Parts: sequence; C-alpha cells; structure tokens
Amino acid sequence: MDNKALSGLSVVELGGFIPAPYCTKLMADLGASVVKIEPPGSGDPARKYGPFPDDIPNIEKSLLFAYLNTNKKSVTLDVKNTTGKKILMELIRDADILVESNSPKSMQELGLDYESLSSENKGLIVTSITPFGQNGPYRDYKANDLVSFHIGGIGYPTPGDVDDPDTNPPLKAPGHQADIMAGATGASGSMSALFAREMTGTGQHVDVSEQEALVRAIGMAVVQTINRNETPSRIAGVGRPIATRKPLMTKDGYFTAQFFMDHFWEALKNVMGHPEWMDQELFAESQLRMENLDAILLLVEEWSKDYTKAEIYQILQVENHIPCLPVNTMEDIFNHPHYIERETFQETSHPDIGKFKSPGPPYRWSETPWEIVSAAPRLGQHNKEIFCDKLGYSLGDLTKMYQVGII
Amino acid sequence: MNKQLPLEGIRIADFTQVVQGPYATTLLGQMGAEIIKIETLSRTQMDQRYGPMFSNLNGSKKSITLNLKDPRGANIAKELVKISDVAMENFGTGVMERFGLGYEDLKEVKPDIVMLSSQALGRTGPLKDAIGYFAEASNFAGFSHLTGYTEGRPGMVGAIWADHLTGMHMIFAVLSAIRHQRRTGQGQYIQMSMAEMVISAMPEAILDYSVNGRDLGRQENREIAMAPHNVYRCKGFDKWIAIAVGNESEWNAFCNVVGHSEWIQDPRFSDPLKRWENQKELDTLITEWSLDHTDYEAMEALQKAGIAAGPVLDGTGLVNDPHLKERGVFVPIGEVEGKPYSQVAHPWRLSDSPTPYYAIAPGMGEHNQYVLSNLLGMDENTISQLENDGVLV
Repeated sequence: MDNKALSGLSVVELGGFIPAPYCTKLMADLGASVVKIEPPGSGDPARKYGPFPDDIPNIEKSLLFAYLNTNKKSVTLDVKNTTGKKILMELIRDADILVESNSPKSMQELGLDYESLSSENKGLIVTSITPFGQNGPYRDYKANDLVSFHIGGIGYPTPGDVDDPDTNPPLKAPGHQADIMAGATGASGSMSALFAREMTGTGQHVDVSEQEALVRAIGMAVVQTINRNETPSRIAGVGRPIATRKPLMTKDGYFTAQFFMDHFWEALKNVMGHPEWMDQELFAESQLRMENLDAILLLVEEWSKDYTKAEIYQILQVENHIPCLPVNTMEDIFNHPHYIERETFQETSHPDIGKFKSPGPPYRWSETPWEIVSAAPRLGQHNKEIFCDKLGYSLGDLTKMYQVGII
Repeated sequence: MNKQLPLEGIRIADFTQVVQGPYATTLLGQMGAEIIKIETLSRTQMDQRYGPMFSNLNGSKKSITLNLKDPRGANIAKELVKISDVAMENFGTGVMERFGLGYEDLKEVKPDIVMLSSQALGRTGPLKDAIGYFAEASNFAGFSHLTGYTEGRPGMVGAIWADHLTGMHMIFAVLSAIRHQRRTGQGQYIQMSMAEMVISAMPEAILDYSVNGRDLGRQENREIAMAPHNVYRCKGFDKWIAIAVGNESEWNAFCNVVGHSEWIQDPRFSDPLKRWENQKELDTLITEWSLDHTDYEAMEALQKAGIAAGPVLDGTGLVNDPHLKERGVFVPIGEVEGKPYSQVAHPWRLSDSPTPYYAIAPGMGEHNQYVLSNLLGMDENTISQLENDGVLV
C-alpha cells in the first residue's frame, strides 16, 4: 500500500449511505487509509439497502454497501455518547480529513461543529457533504437523491421534450446520481484543501451542498436563464427547447447520433441520400440545428427505423465517423466484446457474498494503480485494531464499551 | 494576510474541448491553477465558442492558439508541457499521438508530467476509435436504458450529465496524481472512459444484474423500497414537488400534513409493503392535495414535519430560489458579448481560502504573447515569424 497516489493520507468517515461513503471510496481506492465510523447495531444505512444476492436481505450482504466501502476499515461508535465522542476526537487527532454528511444542526448539538473538531487538530480538513450546505434557509432541511436531483435543477429537463407535461413528470436519473456527484465534489474539494494546507499548515472546512453541486453541473439551462433570461422548456414545441438527445428508434432498439457539427451534418446528408428537408434554412448552421434538434430527430427516425441498431452503428459511426452508439441493456453491457476486452467488470471477492462482478475503475493509472485490496468490512470488523492496537484501549475496555452500546 | 488560492503554482496545459475537460479545468482555474487552453482554427472547432455557455466552461483560463499539425506548433506545445505540471486532453484516440504529443512524447520532455486522457469508450478495446459525446457514452453504458418512463423509449438525463460527472472525477484524479508527483517525483498517465465512468456511478443496477440477473429497466422516479417517492403536480403551470417518505414516523407525519390521518389505518397503505404495491393509487390521492398548494408551500409544510421534499426547479426556479440566493450561487463577474455575465458559484466552499478566481473566458489566443514571450522566453522576431507562417492559428 506504499506506492499509491494517496498513500499516507488518513481519512475518517462519519456519515452513511452514499455521499460520504462514495467520497471516501474514491480516496480509499487510490490508497488512502479510511476508517469508517458506523452506528453500533444497525451500522451504515446502506447495509440495509439492496440489491442483495438472491434478494435475501442480510446486513453483511448488501451489494451497494460492498461496492461503496471497498478498502476501508469499519469501527462501530456511538458519537452521541460522551465516551464515544472522546474516542472520535482521538481518531481525528492524527487524521488528515474527516468526511461527514450529518445535518449541520445535529453536528452542532453533538459538539462536533467545525470549530470543536478543529480545536482538536489544527491541520484537520473537515469535509461536510449535506443536501443544502452549511448556511441558508434550507440548511437543516431533509433531502434524498430524488429531492436533491429535482431541487438541483437536473430533474426538470429529464428526459425532456415531452408532449403532455401533466402525464409526463420530470424524472430523476437512475441510481443515486445526485449523491454520487456530491460525493465526488467532496473528494475534489478535500484535495484542494489539502493543497491549501501545504501552504498554510492549517486545515479548513469544505462545505459541499448537494443542490449546488448539481446546479453547477447544469450548464446551458441555468446559464441562459441568469444571463439571457431564456429558460429552456421541457415541453415539446414550447419556448426554447432543451435540445435533449432523445434516443431514436431502429428495428430492434435505440441509438443516438450527433449532427450539430457541419462535417457530421454533411456526412449524414450523404448517408441519407440528400433528402430535400436537409437543405432547409432551418438546419443550415450548427446553432440552428441545435435549436431545431427535435425536428431533425423526428425526420432522422423516419430513416433509421428501417435498420437494426447494429446496422445504424456500422453506417454512421464506422463508415461515416458520425458520433453514434446504440442504447445497451444490462445484458448487452455484460456481453459486449469491448467491455470484456477492457475488463470493465471486475471480479470482486467478499467473505459473505462470495465472488461477483462489479464495475471496475473509473480511471486507469500507469504508476499508482486503482485497486481493490480489501473487500468492504463487516460491521465493526476493525474495532480491536483501531481502538486497542491504535488508540491503546484494553480488551477489557472493548468489552465494557460493547456491553453498554458505545461500540 | 496575503493568502493564496489552494492551487496557485500549478500549471495545466489544457488540450481539452467541448464539456467534460473544460468543466474540470475551469473549476481547477477557479481554485487558482494556471490553465492554459490550447486552441486552434486549423482544425474543426468542437468548442462552440460563443455566448455565456462558453464562459461557463472556459472562464478562469488563458488561451493560446497553436496549429498542432505544424511541427513547430506541436513543439511549442511540448515546450509548454515542459513547464507545466499536468497535460489534459479528450481528443479521439490517437489524435495526440499524431501530433507527436502522446504520453510517451510528453514524458520525454517532462519525465514527471501527469497526463490525463479521456475518451468516450477508452483507448483500448475493439471500439477504442468510436467517437461520442455524453449521450453516446450514456447509451453505451446502459444508463439511457434505465432512464425514462416505464413504457416509453430510453431517455437522456437532462443537462450534460455524463460530461460533468466525468469532469468532477478528473479533478479528483489530477489532484491526487499531483500530490503523488510532489511526494515522489513520479508522474503518470491516467486514462478515462466516459462510459466506464458512468458505469461506476450506477452500481445498484449493475450489481442487481450481475448477481441476480435482473434488469431494472426504466426507473422513472422510483426507489427500490420507498413510497411515496415521486414528484407531484402543484398549483401553477408545470410545477411539481418531489416527496420522499422514508419510514413509519415520516409516513404518519406525512398523513397529518396532507390532512388524511385516516390513511395511517387504511389497509391499502398501512405498511410500507402495501404502500409500495399501491403506490399508483397513493400518488393519485397525494396529487389531489398537492394541486391545492404551490410547490414552495408544499415544501415548507412537509419539511416542517420532518419530511424530505423540494420543488422541481427549472432555470427560472433556480435563479429565484431563496436558498440559492442567500448562498450567493449566482455571481456577477463581468460582461460577455456586451451584456452582464453571472457565473454559477464554484461547487465547493472553502472556509479559509480566498474567494475563487472568477473570470470570463479569454479571447481566442488572448495569451499568445504571455505564453510565448513571458513563459517560453521567445523573442519578437521568432514570434512574428511563427505568426506569418500560420503556426499561431
């Protein structure tokens, strides 16, 4: 574990489900040492969240938990308890980063606000990932991925281009994209604070609002609204369109392709045999094509529906270098030669789950590998190692703390 | 106290274009890194170089124009890399190599360079040459298949999600690699595939298929166990409130807020399993309540009772949201095309570092003189020769 990008970085995680665990997973998979604090008894809420193998719930077999907590150590600790809080303070004394995702109000009530934590360790970086950030009227409001996604503005244009707004509501993305983005933002923010510490010697508070992490990622819609007073509409034919890249039909599935650049458009004309509609003024420039994308897509679909998706890929992407890829199903991605050759899905071994295929690295490093060294920990698996071997508590202390529910 | 931004002293040679790379580097620029965007008129421009959108992705940078097809242009790029910490690119596979600017070439002139390449499907495998944007990468990852209405066609997540997701991970990767470089003197090559990035961000669906053989299909607004968990129409045109009820105490509170305490005993909704089974019926009943309230009234009432809820915000909704206003999320920083320009604030806040460096996008080649003369020490004659020979376009 010595020659990793984040070797020697010591991280404590206090916060469950996805945002904080995803943030520290990014760090742990690059070699940081991460101690995960879980509530005694129930543990991280993700442990109760599926999918489970064969749909049989088991606190040690959540596949989501197994994915999000690779390369970490787990201790159980009730930080609401005075002794528990004292042990937390000992844990952060020589840590570089604390990643937490609790409500600002509860952190204050527990005496775990940034000032208190920082007084324990001036160099500590505290990264707080919460739905709405550390101040403002919604500071202590609750949200989950659904609420964050919609109040962060990315639900409104999803999937976009609807005919009947009443029966076609705005949608969230699959999985927990808002939580993942917030976690990744926390990881990047933590790294920036680490660079600042190189200059100043002191840590600081990194405030990540899940809502803002999404608002910054919207791009066009919010930028046009604030600067040009033009709010794109999700309703087909109303106002400025969202220019959604709606997948188009073929005989046996769907695909998307991009035609806004001139050379793609010219290539498409050749492929489709120069139909008259393509020469209209409406589609003459790339910006116009973007604004009238919905009309173009309808007309292209008239052509594409007579081909298979493999044929469309061959004609557009392979023969004419137009950006085009088919919509894959789950079965498609697990069997695709491209992903097989790249080993996109990697076999993971877990003591309770056994062997299973899991998404591999989001990035590949030439010198300091992204690597799963240890499977996600069992609940409290490292209590002895951390509390006794590292912090110096005796085995007798361990039993006593266990009996009264501190660990 | 003369405090510096966290990334001051880091220089990035930025060959990226379109969204993902520029998103990463504009945020790195806001944190104080010196971003030198290498642009050209000598090949097709993938960047749509106008309007507020360009500044949104390319503010806080410097710009140099270089014809990389000309060996002298490529050589200047190499000289720039020599004095940079990082080089980033997202051309198609093989383009940088054709310019003589592949990782091996750059390592030769700068052994500890950190280089990051990101392609739609990665640089190896049978489809390594496939070109695609966020939509194509999302399709190929299976993400589009999971997006949309149950009986409808696959859908696209709004905005340009896969690019921004990839961009945010690029920042983490690059900063982690610089840390390693500073500690050990070792640079390296980081390769990304946007499709694999998306796959790694959707573990629930991937693992359910991988272990249980189940394809979840289109997900709408559903959660695997929670109901109510949806968006509901409110008073006004196309206004919606997102509501997520997590447990029994929230459910009881919810019934009281919507004025239907009898639902607590109703056999159709009395436990979470029944609520899940009968969620369509429940959603219809909830809509009867929500239609009588504005989205913000509904949020206030539900949040007061401890229930996760928030309005569905479009562009105007975001700009007017009281919380975002109070947090100062829209920052006026100058003018673009003669009109005032506001920037969406940096996505993380640092308690003890100066305000992020916000600036509108540079003009094309605005910093040619700075880079060539100040950084690379070229004299006026050499520079005008290069100009005359069409190397600086």
